[in-house]
Amino acid sequence: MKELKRRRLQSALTVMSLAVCVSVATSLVLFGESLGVQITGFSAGGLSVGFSVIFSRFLFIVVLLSCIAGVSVVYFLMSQATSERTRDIGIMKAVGCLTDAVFKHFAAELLVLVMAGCLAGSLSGICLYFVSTGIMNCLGFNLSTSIFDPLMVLLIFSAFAAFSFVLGLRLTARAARIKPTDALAQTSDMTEARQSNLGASFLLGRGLSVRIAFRTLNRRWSMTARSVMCLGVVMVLMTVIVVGGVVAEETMVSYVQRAVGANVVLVAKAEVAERYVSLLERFLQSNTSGSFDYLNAEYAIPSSALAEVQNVSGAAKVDPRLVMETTVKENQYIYPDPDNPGQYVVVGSQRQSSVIVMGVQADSLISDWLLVGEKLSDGNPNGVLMGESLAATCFADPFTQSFRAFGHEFQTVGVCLDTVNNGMVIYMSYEGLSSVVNSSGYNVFLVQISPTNLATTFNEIENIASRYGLVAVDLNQTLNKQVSFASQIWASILSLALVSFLSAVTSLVGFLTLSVSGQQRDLGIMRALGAKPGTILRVVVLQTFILVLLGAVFGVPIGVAVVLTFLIPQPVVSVNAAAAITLLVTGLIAALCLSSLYPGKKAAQTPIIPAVSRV
Amino acid sequence: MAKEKAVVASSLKKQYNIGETTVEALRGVDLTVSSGDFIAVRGASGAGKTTLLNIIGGLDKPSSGEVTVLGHDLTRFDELFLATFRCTNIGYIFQSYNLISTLTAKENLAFPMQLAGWDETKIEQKTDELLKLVGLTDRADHFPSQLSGGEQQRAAFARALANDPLIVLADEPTGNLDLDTGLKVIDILRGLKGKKTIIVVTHDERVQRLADRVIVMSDGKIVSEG
Repeated sequence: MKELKRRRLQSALTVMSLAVCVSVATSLVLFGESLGVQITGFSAGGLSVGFSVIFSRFLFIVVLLSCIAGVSVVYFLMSQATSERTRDIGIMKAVGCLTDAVFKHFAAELLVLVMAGCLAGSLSGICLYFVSTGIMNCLGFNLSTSIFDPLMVLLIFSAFAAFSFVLGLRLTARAARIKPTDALAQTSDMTEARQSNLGASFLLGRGLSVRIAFRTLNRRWSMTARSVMCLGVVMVLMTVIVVGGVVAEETMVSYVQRAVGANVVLVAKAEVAERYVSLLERFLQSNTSGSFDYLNAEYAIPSSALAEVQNVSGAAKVDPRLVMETTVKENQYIYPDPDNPGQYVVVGSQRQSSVIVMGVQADSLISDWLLVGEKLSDGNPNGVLMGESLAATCFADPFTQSFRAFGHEFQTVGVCLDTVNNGMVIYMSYEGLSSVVNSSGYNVFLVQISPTNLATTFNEIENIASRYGLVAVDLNQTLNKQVSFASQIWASILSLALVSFLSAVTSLVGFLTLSVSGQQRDLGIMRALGAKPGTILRVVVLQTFILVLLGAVFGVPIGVAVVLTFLIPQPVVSVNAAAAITLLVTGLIAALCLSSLYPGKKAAQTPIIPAVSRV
Repeated sequence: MAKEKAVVASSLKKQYNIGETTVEALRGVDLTVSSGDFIAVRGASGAGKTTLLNIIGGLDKPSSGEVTVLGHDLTRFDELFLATFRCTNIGYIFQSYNLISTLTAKENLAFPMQLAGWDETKIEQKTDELLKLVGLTDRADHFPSQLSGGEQQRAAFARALANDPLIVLADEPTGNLDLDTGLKVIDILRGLKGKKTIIVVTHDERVQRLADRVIVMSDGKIVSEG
């Protein structure tokens, strides 16, 4: 304890950084659990499966990366702390301490640091969880704190404590085995110093601060490599949060827009129109309603009304639909087991579900969904498109399994991300549907209006509709609701990501301070020789800049790759989003560099005599 | 003709607080050193010798009193001025060498010249000259951890002369050296005598014999001078 008190700054920083990592991991997991439940609760059964997958993937990756970043920071701190003690180890061994005794001494110190850090982290993590939950609830969410799981806290505490202690012990054991002469000969923070003059020619003619910064990083190679590794992980996390946040939101909005269509007007009998809008809003929240007779002859749309709307000059596309409700039943698919001759594999369990069926003209479709498989074609009356919620909840393999509806068998040709009836929907050709239900005529049609003269065209369509006893509903309102719903959920998820980013910055400041404190003597000597405080500050900031840049070179592309290849299928990146991402990433890198101002300023202001006297 | 005064210290006091204890390192020191003088300072451990040297070198500030070095009252200037002052006027040889661990011997020598803004050719020329002077030409590209104590001391000595300072301050420059290396350092000091103002904290009688004056310090005061 006496030794830890003597090295107050180092001890405090190690405990603080470890505490931050544990705290963030604890609060993230607890908050993530609450938020995960909230996403389901908030959407109250809404939010189609495909969209939920994107949210949960994002959450999972952020939590995973936060834990990896925490582990990297802990590893860095432990190695830095052990490396700084190498000289002490040499002195202890030189005066006759046995390796075993040295090891026990440092293991006891390590245990105190780890326990203090993990305990403080767990407590502050719980506080952070309650504070975050409170803030979210003030913002209009309804997060429950009853999900609080003490076992989870204990698990995180144990995992971090065990990992840090084992890692620290490994490093301590390695340091304790060092020969006393080697330990004493080393400068405290250069256990694995690089002897080469690498980069000397490159540095010629550069500014003094640049040369010193490069040289120090090159000389303290192992520490530099560890810092870059640590920063790389932080950068991956940061990139996933920034790029993932921006791209995922934009992509999701695009999925919704593609499914619903922009500037679309719905024309139908008032009851059918109301029912159709309610089907669309099931994406936002579940709304139960009784059965509805879509095939009622009163709901049929006169073909003359359709023809009149088609002749409106501002109507870019008219998509007539026969909408109805039915139950689909999954067919089992049985095939010979290739691994066990004579045996058969059964796919599916004959599940059934109530769905919305839409008979459409493939050529007139307004929806341009995110699609897996083939598009709908008029030439294949038994081939259908299936909403991804139906595919996920009712089928084991929708492409190999067929299903039954209306007493007929159908085959899925594609699965689409759709918001109608929260994805519990199938699309098939109008001819196919009308022949199996023995009914002709449409009960709904969608009109996509060209963006110019929106209001005039809408009025024209509304007038035609009213003449036939129909109503025209502007679906842009529903679309906007869905878009803002998606944005609202993203905002709540990004607040979670922001916590992990802040933890990364806090850890970075901690390890920078520790790193600068390791160079305090050299910086003090430079000042004694006449280096101005500004020169010292520049050296520290430049070192950080180089480290952050190297971290970014590794971290940013990995983060972008994770987002674009794994996180979001068919990502949408507009020019504006790309500019926003570039600006954000650059700003965050600058913020990370600026975080070195504090330790740099501190180093430049430390009195020279104590600095140069530091061993 | 009276020589110009290089250092004038009057009523210098310095106190350190270590926890709740106050240590008085200097208890009213008066000292005048003329340009070109060679002063040796000796005294028991804790007498305040290094503190006096640090204050004259602009590394530390007195708690009270005045110290004027080369006409500048160092107590009145900020760190920015003092940094420039140290860089251009003072050559300091620390007791524990204090070489920058991440730079080679040659780069350590070049550092003060780079701070002063010398051009690369001149720096190259001067470092070669200094390395030759202290006999470290073949160790130029070694880092401090690869040099022996004597070699580090000689490198520190060479670095102190890098910017052609007017004042050289040396804290036990021969204290950790073997006989031969100590003699080399004394030879260098002899060569500097009369050309630069030199204040050396030393217990080495060979160095004291070189000095124009020997000051004895005890308990934070100058107790004898001669």
